Amino acid sequence: MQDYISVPLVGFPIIASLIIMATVSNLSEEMREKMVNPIRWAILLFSLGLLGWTTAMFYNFFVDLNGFEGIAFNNYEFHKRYIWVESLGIYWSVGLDALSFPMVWLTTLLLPITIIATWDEKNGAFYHPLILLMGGALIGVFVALDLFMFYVFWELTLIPMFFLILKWGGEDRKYAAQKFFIYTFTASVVMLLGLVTLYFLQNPLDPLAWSGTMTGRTFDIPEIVHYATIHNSGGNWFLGASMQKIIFAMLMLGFLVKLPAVPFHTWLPDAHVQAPTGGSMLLAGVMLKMGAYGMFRLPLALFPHALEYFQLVLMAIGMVSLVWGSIVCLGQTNLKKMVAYSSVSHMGVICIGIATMQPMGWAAALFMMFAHGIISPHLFAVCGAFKHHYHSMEIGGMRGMAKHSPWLATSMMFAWMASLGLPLLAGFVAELMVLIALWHFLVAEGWSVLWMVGPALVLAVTAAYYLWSMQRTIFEGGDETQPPASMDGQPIPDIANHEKLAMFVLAMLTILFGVMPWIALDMMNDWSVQIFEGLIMPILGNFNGGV
Amino acid sequence: MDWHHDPAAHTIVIVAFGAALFHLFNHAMAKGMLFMASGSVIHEVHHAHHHLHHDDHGDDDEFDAQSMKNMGGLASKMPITATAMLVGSASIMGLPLIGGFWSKEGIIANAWRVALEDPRFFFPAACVLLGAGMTGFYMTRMWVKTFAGKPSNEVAAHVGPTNSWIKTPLFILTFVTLSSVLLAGMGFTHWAPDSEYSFLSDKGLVDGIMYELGHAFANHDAFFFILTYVAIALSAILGPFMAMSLFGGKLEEGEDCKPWFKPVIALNNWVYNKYNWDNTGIATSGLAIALQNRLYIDKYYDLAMVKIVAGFSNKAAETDTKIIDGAVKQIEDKSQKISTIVRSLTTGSARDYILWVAIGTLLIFFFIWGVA
Amino acid sequence: MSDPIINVELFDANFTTALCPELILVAGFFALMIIPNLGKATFRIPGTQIRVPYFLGGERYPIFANPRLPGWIATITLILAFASVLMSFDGGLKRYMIVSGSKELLLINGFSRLFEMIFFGAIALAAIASMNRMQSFDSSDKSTNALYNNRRQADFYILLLTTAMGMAIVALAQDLFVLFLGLELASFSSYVLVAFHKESKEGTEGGMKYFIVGSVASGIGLYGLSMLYLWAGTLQLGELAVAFDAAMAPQGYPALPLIALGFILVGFGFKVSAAPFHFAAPDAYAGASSPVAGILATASKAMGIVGLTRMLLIVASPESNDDSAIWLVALGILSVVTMTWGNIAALGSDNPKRMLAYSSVAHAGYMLAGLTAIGAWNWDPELAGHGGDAAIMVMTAILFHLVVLVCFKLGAFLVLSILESEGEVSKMSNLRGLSKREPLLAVSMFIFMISLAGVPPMSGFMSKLLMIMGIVKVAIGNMGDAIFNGDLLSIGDAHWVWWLALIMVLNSAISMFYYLRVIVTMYFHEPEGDRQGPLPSGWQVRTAIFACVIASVFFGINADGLIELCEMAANSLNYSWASQ
Repeated sequence: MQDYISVPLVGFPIIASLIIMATVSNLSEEMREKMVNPIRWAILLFSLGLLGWTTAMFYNFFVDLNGFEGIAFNNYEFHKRYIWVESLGIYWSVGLDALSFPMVWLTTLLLPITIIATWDEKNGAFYHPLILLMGGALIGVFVALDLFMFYVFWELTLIPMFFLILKWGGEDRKYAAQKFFIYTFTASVVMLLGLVTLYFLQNPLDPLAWSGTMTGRTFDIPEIVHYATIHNSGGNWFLGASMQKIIFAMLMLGFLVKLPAVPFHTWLPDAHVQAPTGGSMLLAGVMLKMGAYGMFRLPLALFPHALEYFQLVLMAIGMVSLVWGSIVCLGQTNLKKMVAYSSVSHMGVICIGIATMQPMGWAAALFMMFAHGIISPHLFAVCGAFKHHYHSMEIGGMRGMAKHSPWLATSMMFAWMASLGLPLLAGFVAELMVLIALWHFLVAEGWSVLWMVGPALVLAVTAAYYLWSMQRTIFEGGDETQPPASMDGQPIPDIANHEKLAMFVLAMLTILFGVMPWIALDMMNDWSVQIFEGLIMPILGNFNGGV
Repeated sequence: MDWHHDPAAHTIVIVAFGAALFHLFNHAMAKGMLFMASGSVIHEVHHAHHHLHHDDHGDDDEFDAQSMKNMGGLASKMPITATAMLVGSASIMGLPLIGGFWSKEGIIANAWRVALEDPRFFFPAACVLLGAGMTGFYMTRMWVKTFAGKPSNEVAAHVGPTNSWIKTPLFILTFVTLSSVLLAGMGFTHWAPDSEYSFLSDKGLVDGIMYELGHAFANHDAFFFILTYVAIALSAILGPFMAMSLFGGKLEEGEDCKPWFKPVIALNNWVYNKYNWDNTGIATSGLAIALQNRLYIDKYYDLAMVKIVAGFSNKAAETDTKIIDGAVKQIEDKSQKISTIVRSLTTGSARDYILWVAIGTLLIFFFIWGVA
Repeated sequence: MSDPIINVELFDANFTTALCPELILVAGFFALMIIPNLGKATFRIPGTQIRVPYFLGGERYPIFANPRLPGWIATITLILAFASVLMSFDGGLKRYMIVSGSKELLLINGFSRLFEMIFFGAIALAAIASMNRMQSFDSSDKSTNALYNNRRQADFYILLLTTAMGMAIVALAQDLFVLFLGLELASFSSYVLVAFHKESKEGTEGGMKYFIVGSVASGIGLYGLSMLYLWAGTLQLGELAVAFDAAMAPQGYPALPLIALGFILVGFGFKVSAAPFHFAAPDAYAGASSPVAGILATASKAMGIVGLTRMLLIVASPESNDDSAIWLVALGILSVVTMTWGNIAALGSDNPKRMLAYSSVAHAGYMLAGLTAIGAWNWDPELAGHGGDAAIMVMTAILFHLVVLVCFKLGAFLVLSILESEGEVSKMSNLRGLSKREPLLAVSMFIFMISLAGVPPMSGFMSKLLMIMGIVKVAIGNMGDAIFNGDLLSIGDAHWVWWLALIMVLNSAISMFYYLRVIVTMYFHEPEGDRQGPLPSGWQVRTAIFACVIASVFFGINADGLIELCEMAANSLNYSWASQ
């Protein structure tokens, strides 16, 4: 089979953007200005090509396959593997399954939208290539099927984002960029140690293990998962109980910080508030999902016992993130910070979905990743338009936006509604499914269903902060609209056409996946059931009600 | 009374549910019509105000086009709208034979039937009856304040007829509301909740209407016979009477209106002139003011939201910044401080460095010796 | 390991082949002394008018008076030496032992060849860079001035060559005396190099301090060596190792070699700048010119590691022992203190060179952690498995780290060197706006910084990963098998050196902070008032930086070749490791 991933989806974006940036940095200022337009058009067209490519992969019209549904657990489409560092058992190994594909598609979708939404960002000759670089690195994380490669791309995403924040960010960007980098780096080096320990705990005497390397072991994820699946059985924990718990905890630290879950979330508001619009869109849209993706890819598949053992801890972390995130949202005066905290809250939903240990909860978490990936860029695009046009992000700093900026007001209203979980929009599907899965969980565990009151109330709080912020920006003021003080009496512009286009596309997709969630949900559901039946049920039995 | 298992109760349940569903239908027609009509009134009043005051700017906010205080005597200006309002109000009030009467009657009757069986349900049944009377009062008040009487100001005097885009649906809805008696005759109260029931298999339409009429106005059961008339008295007589006595009046001299308004307005005027009484005492009582402020529920609700929820969330946001993020910042700050201390050990003097070498040597000995 | 080691007597048939790189250095050394002095000197045969030219002195020919000439000679010499090391790998590496009678003096094998490459490579890069760094006025100036410059250049490059020579000898030495000889040759040359920058007060002061503290440390080390001699009656490493093995009695070691070991640890601890023997290093780095500081941070550190490896692993490592090495705890604590101290001190450091000095202290800590792990390789016969594999892994990691350290640490110093030739580099703010002034230099510095911090896909990450993998492999050993056989084990059952790996990764997270500060300074801040526009030109140093960048990235993305080379070198270090 041809390699449909390595070069077009990962290699080319990264190398092309590096070449563009290297070339541009040697040009004079005027030439650079002149080159902005060709560069951004080229990058836009290229990212549209990427989107077309992944969409074509989805429909599989150039290969004779049946799509991402029905792939057995730990099998991958478009799987290719090349030797990278032979002496350590490191491979360049790429592949897609229903877990990674939606994320890859989402990334390729958000690339052109981000570029369009921030079409006239300053210093565009560097900005747009950086966005493309970011996209390549993000795709690399999702397609990687080798722990080393996964980690390399995991950290590689930090670099373009660091520069996006540092060079295009707000007032306090220096602090935010460093905090973002160091905070997530710290967690991921601990994760790295966990991965390395896991690597050496593979049994080299096992017939499955690898020869020809210095260590007799491999970083290959399918192999390790396969190996773990064999050794995980009813009473038998892969690596033994206490070891499994420790490594599980080390991996989860990396993922929970990236997610981010309370109390490891404080890098996020800083990074988001300071990041430029495009950076925020990719950060919230895809980068946060890396944490959830990692949880599915490794701890869930390798350490189901430990996941069950820490189930309530994870559930508690999810609940706390959900509740705390939304309560803190209510107390924010900065629009973007509010949206950032709402991401924390939504990531809590994902955490709960994973912790339910129900295929439905997992499918819901997967769909939440996807839906939030469409909705949150919309939110941040709106915030960015605010900042761009009003030079202010204070809620209540402007009133009656519906009057002077109807397009922005409409977009904002749509995005806000989508994020608070309005039925028929994408976010609702995920939230509802998580709640149902939670109900299943509570019933199966014999807990009182009154625990449902928490998340349900939080949904009300979510609605409250969104509606309240809308009331204070869009509506109040009547005929005497209050333009933001930061405008200094300048005429108030509405959003530009390219912003309208980007927001419109996002809105349409939100509706599409709200009305027809099965386009993505079917394969997610399939994957969840596959992993539940193929991995969890043989090990733990149908332990808490299941399906 | 066992609602689920008692076969005897089953009939009541079906009929009561049927009545409720029928009322949903009637209410939807009538209330939809009322909203549409009131919308047209508001629109026209606003339009008239705009037309009158198009030269002086800025006082738009002062004028409230939705306030009934700014209306009056519109029956002559907007006949279709006024008709629709009249029919809708009658339907909601439950004037005999019109729309909601059939369903409301059924609801009241069933409520009391239950209350007779089970005294716990006496209170809701009484409430239903009381509510019927109050509906009569406020619907009448609405109609007469808006359409009867003299225009309360210049604007109301200049209101024109509504446009035909609104007229058409109003006409249709009026027709449907009026023909609700047909549905009642078809046995809607039975076939809506009971899928087994076939409405024309039992009796013909005319028979059905006759049956319903007889059932409503000439009930064999003395209690329900009286109940029906009490309900009619409350909602169609006492309520409207009170409203008319307070808010009535006739049209401006020279204004003409459609013939079917005339008896209503005349009655209104008559009641007003004859029975008008001063309600200032009630209107300025504490209860009235409290009611005007919606029993202060909104106020306390706002207070709770702003003081408790917003206050709590502000505290939470502060905690998030000060404590959770503060811990991170503390680590940063403290490590910088430690760094300064550590660097201050590099004094720049070779003597100190050699001292450190000596200390290091001793420590190494200590640990090697300790192991050996 | 098929070929046996060929014993070579002095000036034997294979002598030139075996010591080709060192002989090239000697030749370059003489060339540097002679060539810049060539002139039109003649002497008159007394009583005649015949003037016989003897060329040394007199009015010099312009080409020999060129102040750049010594630099070129030294660079070419070092590159030739480097190339000859490379060539020796051609057709399979031949191993030689230079002997004198029954005494083994120098061993040439993969391990020492690799270190020769590190030393010569690093010093060659520094030599290239110094051509732009050393003040070298145009020779059209007054001739005395030119002469002065020229002489000074020659001195500098001669010292560079002697440093390289001394380091190479340390890498080859199989005898304590030879080892010490090489060590002192390299040390003394480097003391002078640090103080060479005599225009500035810091240079002289730093050089002086470095000299004083270094002498004390060397003295302590020498004392330790002599105690070893007193105890075992031999200076030969091989014989000492046998003696240590024999002394491994149940009642424990006698006191004398332990004291000796402690002293030796101090002596080499100074060379690798382990805390608390590192104090002179920041002063020296800040005082020295940047290329010299780069040499101290890379080649000199590698030399210290060679010495430690020889003494701790070969001489005092418990090959036949079932237990961990005697120095394990001491070295473990030393490594933790070193890496933490270095990182914490670097956090607040505002002088880029001092910051890099502290960061090199931290890197020394990482490597000491690796050495500690090797000492633990026999910790538990059941769980440790065949520790030799793990030891090779760690050694590979240390060697890999030393090689790539030359790329990014020296590279960072070279970038500072360009800035230095413009003016002071004593504050972080001197780096401001580098991305605007010199985008490519800023990108290079950025790559060096994230490489130092260990961010993928740079070579620094690869070396850190290898180090962690090595340590974890030692600590985990055969636990995978035991678990497979049903044992319930926890991380507590692994050897405690596992925690060194944890401390190491946390330390690398701390280090991220100050490396990022450099990046932020370059990319975020506007240039300082009087430091606008591009930096002074100099293609030589830029070429060197470019080479460093390419290597830093290349060894991160395609590390396989270098890992295999290092593995080979590690294998050749100790015969008993390679028993698999």
